Amino acid sequence: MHFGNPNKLCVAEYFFEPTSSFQDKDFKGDVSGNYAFASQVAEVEVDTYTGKVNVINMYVSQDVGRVLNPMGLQGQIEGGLATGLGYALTEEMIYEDGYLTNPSFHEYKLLTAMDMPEVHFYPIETMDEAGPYGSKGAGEAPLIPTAAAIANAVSNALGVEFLSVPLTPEKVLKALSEKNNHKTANSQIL
Amino acid sequence: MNFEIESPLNKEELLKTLSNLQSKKFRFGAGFTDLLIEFKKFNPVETTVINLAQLKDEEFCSIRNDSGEIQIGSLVKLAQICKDTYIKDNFPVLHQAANALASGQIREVATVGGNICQASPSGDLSCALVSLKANCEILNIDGKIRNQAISEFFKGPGKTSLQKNEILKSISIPINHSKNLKSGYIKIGKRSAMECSIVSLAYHFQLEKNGKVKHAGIAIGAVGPTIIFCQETVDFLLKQNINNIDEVLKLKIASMIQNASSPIDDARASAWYRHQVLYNVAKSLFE
Repeated sequence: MHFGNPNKLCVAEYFFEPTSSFQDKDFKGDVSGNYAFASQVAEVEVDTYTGKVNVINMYVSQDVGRVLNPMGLQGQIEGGLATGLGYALTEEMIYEDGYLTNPSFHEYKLLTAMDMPEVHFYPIETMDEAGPYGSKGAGEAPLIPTAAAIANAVSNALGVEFLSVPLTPEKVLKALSEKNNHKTANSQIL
Repeated sequence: MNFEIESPLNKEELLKTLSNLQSKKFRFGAGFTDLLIEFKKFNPVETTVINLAQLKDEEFCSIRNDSGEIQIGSLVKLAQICKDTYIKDNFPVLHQAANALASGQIREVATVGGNICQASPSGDLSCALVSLKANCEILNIDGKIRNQAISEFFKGPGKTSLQKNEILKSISIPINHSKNLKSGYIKIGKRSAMECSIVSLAYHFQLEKNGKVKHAGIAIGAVGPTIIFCQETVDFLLKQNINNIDEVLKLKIASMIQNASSPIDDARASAWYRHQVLYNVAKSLFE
């Protein structure tokens, strides 16, 4: 920090990105200066009549480096989570004969504030030497585990494995009815 | 997007504007939540918009409660219905449907008449009104009023029985004969707000003290070309006591409601899903 012209404050900053090796053919290598580690737990309710998944609680714990602005961090976590929630439950591009059938936000369903679950955030504060002031990325990491956590929670509730997202009501109800048909078919054989 | 605009300020001006425009193409706009989107998609050609947002008229703009029926003007905003305590207490189905429609911001500008005249098979408010056996009061350019049951008002997706020289003035709903109600609106969609329903079911039962069904109305939306009033189910229910509906009867009623539907596949959901969910939801009515 120094003064240039009289009464003008200038701030000079620099960030040196540590050297990293690019991915090789096996997708291995040190690709980033630092890494964020995130974990999430999802608590869901599934309506077996409609197949609708209702996420009640999300527990988020994340290595966030050094926290500079706690409220800004909470915003990043909730925003990332909301994106992950849409990925898990509704967002889907549906193609028919090569044409996108839902090209607007009318049919491509982004979730709204009404769909947000309770977010319980437990930050793990670390000091990362590579990041500025010891901080690291916090906004992208929370959206990565969300879909997996929700899909696993739904599988745990219903006893059906899902191999694709989004878990739309239709997909869930179909899986449920297939499971029930399977059961009755088995019991008939026995 | 290029169009002429006329803004009548009272009923006389409205009728005059309407008769002047008989030979031209025109559209009504009140909340403009659907019209502007439509104009964006299909550029209007030589169209005049009759802007009703500035119209000041008691019959068009208010909810009145007199002479054995409740009258809702077609320019009443959905937020007004949500806030009306009489409707909340006596017609929970209408209150819930208005609350389920789009989002808080849209409910502040969107109007009852707009939702009805759009004649969407998945219209939330229309579905509740069909279950309440509401009556449409339609005004023509000579100032004459025509009454029509709302289930006959809808002719197909986007089609109503409204003629070019007519405008929907208000909706009237017969008041309840019984205070003992079982009434509600079930909307199935992918998200909790800003949603176009995949299946909707509106029900309004008036019961006697012992639980016998005195008056009934059931309407299903988004499972056919128009909103469907389940006449057969209603006739069947009128002979029943709501406390005596057992497992067998419950399933019978559910399949009766299901049989009234004729869903199709679209981007929102498949016909299979609609058919299945309608059955499940109808089943949940008596649980």
